[in-house]
Amino acid sequence: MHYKLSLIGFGNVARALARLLLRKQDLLKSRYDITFSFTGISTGRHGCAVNPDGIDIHKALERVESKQSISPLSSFNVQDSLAVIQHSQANLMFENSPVNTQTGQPAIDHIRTALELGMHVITANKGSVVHGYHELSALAKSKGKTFGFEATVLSGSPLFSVFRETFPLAELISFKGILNATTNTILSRMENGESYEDAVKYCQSIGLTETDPTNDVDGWDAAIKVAALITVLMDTPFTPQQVEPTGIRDITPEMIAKAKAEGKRYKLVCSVEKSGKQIRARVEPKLVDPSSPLYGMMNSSTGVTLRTDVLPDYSIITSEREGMTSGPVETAYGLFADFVNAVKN
Amino acid sequence: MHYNLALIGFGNVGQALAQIFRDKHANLAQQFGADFMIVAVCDLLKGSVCDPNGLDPATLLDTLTATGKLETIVAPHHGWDALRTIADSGADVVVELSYTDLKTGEPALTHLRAALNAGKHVVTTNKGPIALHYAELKKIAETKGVEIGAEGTVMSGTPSLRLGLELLAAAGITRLQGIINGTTNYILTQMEAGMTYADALKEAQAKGYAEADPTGDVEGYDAAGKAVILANLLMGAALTMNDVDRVGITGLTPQDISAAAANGERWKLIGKVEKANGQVAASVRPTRLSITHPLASVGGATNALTFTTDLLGDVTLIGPGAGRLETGYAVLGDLLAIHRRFGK
Repeated sequence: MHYKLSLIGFGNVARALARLLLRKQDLLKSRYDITFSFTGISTGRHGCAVNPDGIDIHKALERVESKQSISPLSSFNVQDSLAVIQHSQANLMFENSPVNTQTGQPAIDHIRTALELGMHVITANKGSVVHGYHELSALAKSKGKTFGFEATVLSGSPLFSVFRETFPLAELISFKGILNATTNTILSRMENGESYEDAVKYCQSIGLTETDPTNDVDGWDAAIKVAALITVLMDTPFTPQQVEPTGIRDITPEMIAKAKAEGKRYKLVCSVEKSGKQIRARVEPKLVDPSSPLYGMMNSSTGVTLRTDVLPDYSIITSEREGMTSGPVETAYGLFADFVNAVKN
Repeated sequence: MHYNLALIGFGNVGQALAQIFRDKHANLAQQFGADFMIVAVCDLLKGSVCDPNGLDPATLLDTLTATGKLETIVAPHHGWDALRTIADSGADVVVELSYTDLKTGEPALTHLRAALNAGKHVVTTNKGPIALHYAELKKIAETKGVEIGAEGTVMSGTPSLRLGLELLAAAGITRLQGIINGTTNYILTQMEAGMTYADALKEAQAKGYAEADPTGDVEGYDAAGKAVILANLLMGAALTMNDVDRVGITGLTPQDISAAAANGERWKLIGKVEKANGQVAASVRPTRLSITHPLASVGGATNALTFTTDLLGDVTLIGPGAGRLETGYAVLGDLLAIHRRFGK
């Protein structure tokens, strides 16, 4: 089967995804008999392109990375994301426009449009899950299409699907973990004596955080992931604003040194508890000691421990393989895995 | 979609499954559109009963509690052996839960062969046939267009195989390593707290973690069986039990334990499966890990498995390695996987 793909949003993650798909195209062909082409691309600052016969993806990558517009690659004139979706004739859309924690827009409009046109949709956009999960998953179901969002949390470890398949009848009553790789990396590096500013710079240099790291260091990225997990796994709409996160800006080198001397360390801990209909969610820096499963999670490790009403605790943790640095490629992997799982059957 | 199930073996896990159906039948129908009905139960000690119109799970459990047997249940057929049950009960899925034999895989192997050859799906928690004869069973299953579910063979209800297959689909697994035997991990944890090996073993037996004859656990055979299953199901290998480089924990002394502790380390019985130069190698060995290693903090009877992948880095799964309800849920997970694939 041939898949026409459209990429809505063409930043670090989407470009890493395009490269990953190219790297794996022989495997996709030999193992699943899948071929693909890119028929629509929409960028934030470098224009849009549509070509149902296939856009030259190598040129698109090259142009965007040298800050040129991709419009010359288009077979006709398109002005915005919605037009790209409507004219791309794609069967699958990857939605990776910038995250909007307040409303989830414009990603939700993009996804709704694509699903209504009969496309599968795969996204790393947490805003769309938090603000649109119930509507969009119902729409996808009614159209018989996939709405995949494993890439939104735990950089692509299949947490949502494994939970659903492992605990088919269980009710999630609490979870606890580390969900933001940037702050965990900063805290790990500060423990080794690096300054906060240098640690932030390091995270920017490997593409782990943005030029403006506010979202990460003030806890909003963790909060929106917490909200996504509550929305999906506890089946309860929840916003990052309800989490009221506390970030890591107030953690001083002195505090870290003192904790280290006591055999402890700071972690930006996410914790959620449900009692009855009441859900209490927190994101805040906490001191943890070696008896905590969070203590050993260093650098870009993220993970959660899940507690259900029926069975003992389960944890899933992702961490860097030796010789590997974290970055957009892991999120891209999450999108890629959703793609494979959506199309392999 | 409706499924008739025949349960071969009605010990802890079979009863847990009956309990899940008793308590959650309506939820399963409503949430998944799957209607699972037990039509036959065949147990070597408790007897055998079959009713093609369905056996009530509550009646099965109550009768067993009251009489220790299944014989008094009113049903058209009693006393069928396992093979007759598989052949004549009208089951769509055979759930094989008889006792584990890691040397021959029997009698489960014969049961699974018969079920697959008759075109029935099978779900098993039995390591024997899966560790020893997976390739043969898989071939029959493919020919007949049916499924083999084996999630409960490794880490009981912790979804190691399911996660592995999901990761495998796209991430490329290069190494698996972890704590895959709860009994030995419990013993090592207790020894670190100052107990002798003999006392720790006694306690593990009292808690039901270890068998009266603990050889299978403490000499690493159980972990080796699981390593073979992981290698063959997730890495496409064709290993046998003899291919596993296996050392148990009986040689570890209190001095070894305290020497490690003094060095900021901890002994764990680590099962490992690794692909190198196109070959898959498996080992089970007591290993000293730094206490900062993610697997070092896994204490008691808990299990953990780290998947090293090409694209995603390391993914570690931690959860219970045993337990009747946990394993019952593993069987249910496999049944729902069959439903997802064939129930449309």
